[in-house]
Order: sequence, then C-alpha cells, then structure tokens
Amino acid sequence: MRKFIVLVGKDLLLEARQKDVWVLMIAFAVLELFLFAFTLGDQGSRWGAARAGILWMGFLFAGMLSIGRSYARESQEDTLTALSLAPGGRMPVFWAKLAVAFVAMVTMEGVVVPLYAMLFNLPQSLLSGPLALVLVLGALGVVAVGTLMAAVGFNLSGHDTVMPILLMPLEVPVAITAVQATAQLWQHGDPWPWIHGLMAFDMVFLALPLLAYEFLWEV
Amino acid sequence: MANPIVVAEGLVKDIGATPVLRGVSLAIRPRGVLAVMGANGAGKSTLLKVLGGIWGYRGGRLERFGKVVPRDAMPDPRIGILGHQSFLYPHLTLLENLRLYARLWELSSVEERVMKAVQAVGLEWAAQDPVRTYSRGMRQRGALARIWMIAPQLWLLDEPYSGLDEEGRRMVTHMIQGAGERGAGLVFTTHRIDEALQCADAVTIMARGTMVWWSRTEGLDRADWDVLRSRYWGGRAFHA
Repeated sequence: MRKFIVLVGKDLLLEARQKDVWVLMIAFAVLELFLFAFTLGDQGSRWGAARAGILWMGFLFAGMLSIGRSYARESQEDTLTALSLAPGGRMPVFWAKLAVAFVAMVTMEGVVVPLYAMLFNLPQSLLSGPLALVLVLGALGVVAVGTLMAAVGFNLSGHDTVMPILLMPLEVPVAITAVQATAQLWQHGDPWPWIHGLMAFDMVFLALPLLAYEFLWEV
Repeated sequence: MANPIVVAEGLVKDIGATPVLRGVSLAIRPRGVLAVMGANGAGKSTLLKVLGGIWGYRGGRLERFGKVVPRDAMPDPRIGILGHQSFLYPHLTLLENLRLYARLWELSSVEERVMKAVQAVGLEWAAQDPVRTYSRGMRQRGALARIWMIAPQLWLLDEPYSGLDEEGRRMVTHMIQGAGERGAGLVFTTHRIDEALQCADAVTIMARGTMVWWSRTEGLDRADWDVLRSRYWGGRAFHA
C-alpha cells in the first residue's frame, strides 16, 4: 500500500510538471464535442441514443490517446525497471498507473459533461445520480483495459502503432455497455442490465492483471 | 569465510531465440569485487540483469542471499543496479528523484540520506535542477547517488565509469572500494583494465556469453593483459 501511495504521488507530480496526459485528454474530448456540436447544430439534441455515443466516443478516444503516455514516461530513463526493484513487488506500479488514469478520466468527465449538457441542450434532470455511476464505471472500464494494454505494449517495438490496434477491440464491450446505459437513462428506460454488464466487464479487467501482469515484465 | 551473496552455476539466458548467456558461473562473497570485461555483445549487461532479477534465466542455477532464485525474473531490494540509463525521471530534480527512491525503499531519515547521497557524488550545486538539464556524466553521478543512498548488499554496476570526468572516475573508485569495505559484494563491467585493477579483487573476461578467463587482480600486470586482450577481443580467435 505504501509503495502504491508513493507511486500515485510521483505520477501526479510528473503530470503537474509535464501536463501532457490530462491536458491532452481534456483538450481532445472538448474538441470532439465542439466538432459534433458545430456539425449537427440543434439537430444533435434530437438524436436519441446517438447522443450518448457522441459523449462516449470522446471519452474512449481521449482515454486511448493518453493512457499509454503514462507508461511511455517510464521508458526514457528505464525508470520502470527501477520501480520493479523497489520493495513491494511489481503490482503496485500497475495499480498506481491505473488509479492516476482513473482520476484523470473522471476529471475529464467532470469538465466535459457540463459542457456537453450546454452544447446539446441536455435537461438538468438527465444529469442524475445513475449517470454519475455510469460515468465512473465506464471510466474504470476504459482505464482498466487501457492500462493493461499499455503495460503489454511497453515492451513491444512500435508500441505506439500496436497499442490502438490491441486496445480497440477490447474497449468495444465497455463502449457498448456505457453508451446503452447512458442512452437508457436519457430515454427513461431501464439502464440496470447495461450497468450490471459494465460492472462485470470492469471486474474482469481489474482481475486479469493479477494473473497476467508478472509475465509482462519478461523479455 | 562468509557465505556468498550470489552464486551462479551454469546460467543460461536467451533473448528471443538468441542465446546470450551460455553457462556462466560465479560466486561473490561479502567484500568481494568482480570486474567483468569483454567485447561489446559478450553478455556482460545481460549477466548483470539476470543476477539482479530484472530478467529471468532459462537454465542453470542462481542463488542470492542464500536462497535459490526462481527462473522467472525476481528482483530484490537488497540489490542496487546501475544500468545504461539513469533510472531518474528527467522532469524531476535530483532531490525529488532521490526522495522518491528513499520512500520506495522505506529508508529512515530521508532528507539526511538524500543530502548525503548528493554530496557523495558532488552534485550539491545542481541538485535542485531538473535531471533533463543534466549532462551524461551528471546523470551517471545521479544514478550512482541513488544506489549509494539505498546502500545495497549487492551492487551490480554496468559501466559505472561511463561518461565521467577524472574527478568522477575517482569518485566511482572510492564508492566501489567503500561499499566493499562495508561488506557489500560488487560486480561491475568495464572496458578498461586500469579501472578493474584499481577496484576489483578478481577480473573475468566474457566472450559470446561465457566466461573464458578469470584471475585475481593481485599480481596481474598490464603486459599480461595486452596478451589476453589480443586473444579475446575481435579477430578470429574470438570465434574459436
């Protein structure tokens, strides 16, 4: 736990210095929103389920763009090796990366959702408690898969190219469940089957690193 | 005689399909300092990574601190490794880097240790600058400060003299001798026999993944070395 806390502090300090992950994420998601808002005009607010897709595509691509950067930072001076040598094993390194990416995603959602509501005339009543749950679970799904794939890609040559190809198919279930849950909420349907699906997906991708992560360090 | 800190017997390591270590054996006791020499690609850096648990091994036996190390890579915080890269975050200052490693290693009196480490490598004047502004030699000093600070029982140093000026080279020699006197075991790679003769108890030559020669440094002179060098560096004799 101590190693995890120290590493989270380190990653936050690095982000404060470099500002390359969080700024990139938020800028990308905001730009995507404006692009759709300008393109669709006032029709955007009448698009039903597609509105949820616009929101989640922004989150998904912003997450994919930026999560890999957290591991890339460790490659410059091979600091990942040094972290693995420290007491406490290797898993805290992964959990710290995941935790910082999760905080970044939730922060991005906190900036983007109010802007989205304004641009697409989303009524206040649709920004309900269950939406916050979907946003949190969706963010967890995106970062769980993304962080694991970033760790996989770290030792691969050309990982910048390989990463999105590996990541995209694995992010499809989280995209579908998150979009459907959000759409059901906004159309006053039953979001819970989709929310439960999202929970199951999150659990699988939080458990998988416990089994696979140690193998990722070898040549 | 004290138990060895590390014992390797017939270590074999492949990278992909290429054999890089082909049956390396050695033993390092407390206060023992071994210099590993050899041409580029001989397997020196790989040997240090396997000994340090950064990489696993395919065959042979590795024992550290009295316990057999499984073939999967298994690091140990009692080991300090100097690699080709500094293990320092370029966007943090040296002080911030050292504080980070001190906390990770759960050291007591963090600030005191950090300052002593900075002084030990002579970087007081640049300790508050981001490491990205450092020269190659300054990064090497910073990397050595990290290892000195955690005071490991086994030092594995890959070309510790690399990139350093004369004063820096003396500092490394002093650091290696000091660690040995405090009871640590050390293995370091170098391309210069004078560095090996200054610090090490024994010197070995690696060629194509095996140790082809070794000797105590006591009594070894430069003339002998020149003959060995011509035998094991380059040319067809290397491949025999």
